[in-house]
Amino acid sequence: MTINQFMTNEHRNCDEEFANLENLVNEDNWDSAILAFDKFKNMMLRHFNQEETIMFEEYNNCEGGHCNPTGVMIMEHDQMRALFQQMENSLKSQDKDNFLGLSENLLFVMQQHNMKEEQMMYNMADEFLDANDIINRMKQIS
Amino acid sequence: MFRGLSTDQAPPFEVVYRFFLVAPISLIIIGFILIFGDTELILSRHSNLAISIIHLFTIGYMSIIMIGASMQFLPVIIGAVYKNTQTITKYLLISLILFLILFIYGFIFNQHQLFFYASYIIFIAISYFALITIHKIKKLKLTDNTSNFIKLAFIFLIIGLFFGIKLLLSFYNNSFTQYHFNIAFTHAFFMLFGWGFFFILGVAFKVIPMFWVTNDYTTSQIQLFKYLLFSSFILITFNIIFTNQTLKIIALSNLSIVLISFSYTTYIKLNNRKRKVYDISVKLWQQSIIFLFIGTILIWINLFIYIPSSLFAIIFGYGFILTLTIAMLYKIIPFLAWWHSSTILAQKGIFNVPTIKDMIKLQDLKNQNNLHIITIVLLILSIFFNSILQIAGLFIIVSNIYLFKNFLNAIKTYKKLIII
Repeated sequence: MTINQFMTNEHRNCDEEFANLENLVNEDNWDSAILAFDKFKNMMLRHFNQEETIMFEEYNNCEGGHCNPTGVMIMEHDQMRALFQQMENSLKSQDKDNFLGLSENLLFVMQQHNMKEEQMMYNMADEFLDANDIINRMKQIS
Repeated sequence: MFRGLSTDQAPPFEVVYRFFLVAPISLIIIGFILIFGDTELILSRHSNLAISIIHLFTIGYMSIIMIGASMQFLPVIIGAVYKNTQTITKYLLISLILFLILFIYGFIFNQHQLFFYASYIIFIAISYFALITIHKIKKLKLTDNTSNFIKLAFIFLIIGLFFGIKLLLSFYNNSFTQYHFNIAFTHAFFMLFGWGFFFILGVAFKVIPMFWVTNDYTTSQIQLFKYLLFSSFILITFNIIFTNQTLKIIALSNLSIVLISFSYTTYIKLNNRKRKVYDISVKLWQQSIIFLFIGTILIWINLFIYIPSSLFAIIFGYGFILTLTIAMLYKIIPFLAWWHSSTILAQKGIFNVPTIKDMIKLQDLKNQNNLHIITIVLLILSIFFNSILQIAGLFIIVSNIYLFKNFLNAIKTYKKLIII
């Protein structure tokens, strides 16, 4: 399995959790929404962790000076972390309109980010890194 | 420390929104032509008025929107980044507007000498942009179905352009070959189903699954689309010289299979999407798909019973393409307004900004869509009851002023935010 395949699969899993979360808020099912949010947020943070502590680290060490998009990717992770915080606040105050506005923001940021990773970052990682080693190490991240 | 989203690959918002503001104006002009023009000429396929209206739509609206959108999302969805976007966009927009002025004036007031300059302008502008886009896509290390289909869309644009220039110069020289009407049909076919539909397919393959969390389009389906569509284009091109009804029927049948398959698949995907929150863009996509489906059925019916070409123009143009582009613009413009403003504000340490949904009010989106649907119904009725055409024209004006206002509201919000 390539890094691209593994991580794209992770993206799709996160997308499904995101959709589930949004639907629960839309239905005013706040208790379930809080649980779903925690699950979604933890999945995303784990995914960021996998990339930042393993894939990006290894890539930075071996790449050797060509185009390196890891800085931009981390910046976008930070933007999403900020959005998670805002969404959590909306969830706690049960502000449905604000939450759904923020989730739309997150969707665009997330999908744009995912497209860049799937089109570019992961392919570069597959080219320069040992895919099996990277995938196994990323699976260890909790 | 977080300093906002990376806009390094995206052109400035100002560069792109010019296209989105100019486009509805072309539709408003069409409305005025319907009100004040000769009804019989308007509904007659090869009249100067009909040709003017069609090109106000295809170039003044459709191509301007697609080129503007390309500048913005091709860097993001396929990694093809344009340089010197300020210069390119100014040049492109001015050229397209100038072309339209010369073209429309030349046809409506029978000033065919203007077509020499019009041909030159459109040839340079479109072929330049299409060639740099194709070059950028070819340079990509890895391509996917989206980039391949968009590359093909631009190739078809160039081919359609050559047919169009040939036709325009025929009017300039007042010299028409026996193949003139076949070339006109082929030009329309390449532009609508080559440039327009291939572009839409390329975009749909990516954005439908990503925006609304659906399953991907299958590889086998996409390959089938490619082969059937290619065969249609080859057969239609042969038909220019050989004028064989069988070739045309096979070409249209192959095309129809793709259109029906895409319509059905996309409608079902959107119905079964994981994100169930109300989204007007989903409603508009499904509306446009219904028109695509209806138009395809009419293609088959037309093999047995005559269907006026104006009905095809309304269903495919106004019903399918316009509705679908509005669906996408009601996503793209609020996102760009939010994205660019939040980036600028984040650099000032301000993170509490309005959301994407605050950029255009939902009720305004719904109202405009309602006017849009009424307009389409009136346009269809006007084919059978010609006296309704002026009312349809009025609704075109009103619904597209509303469209323009909705776009402008998002842009105004962006401008207010960035000066905080």
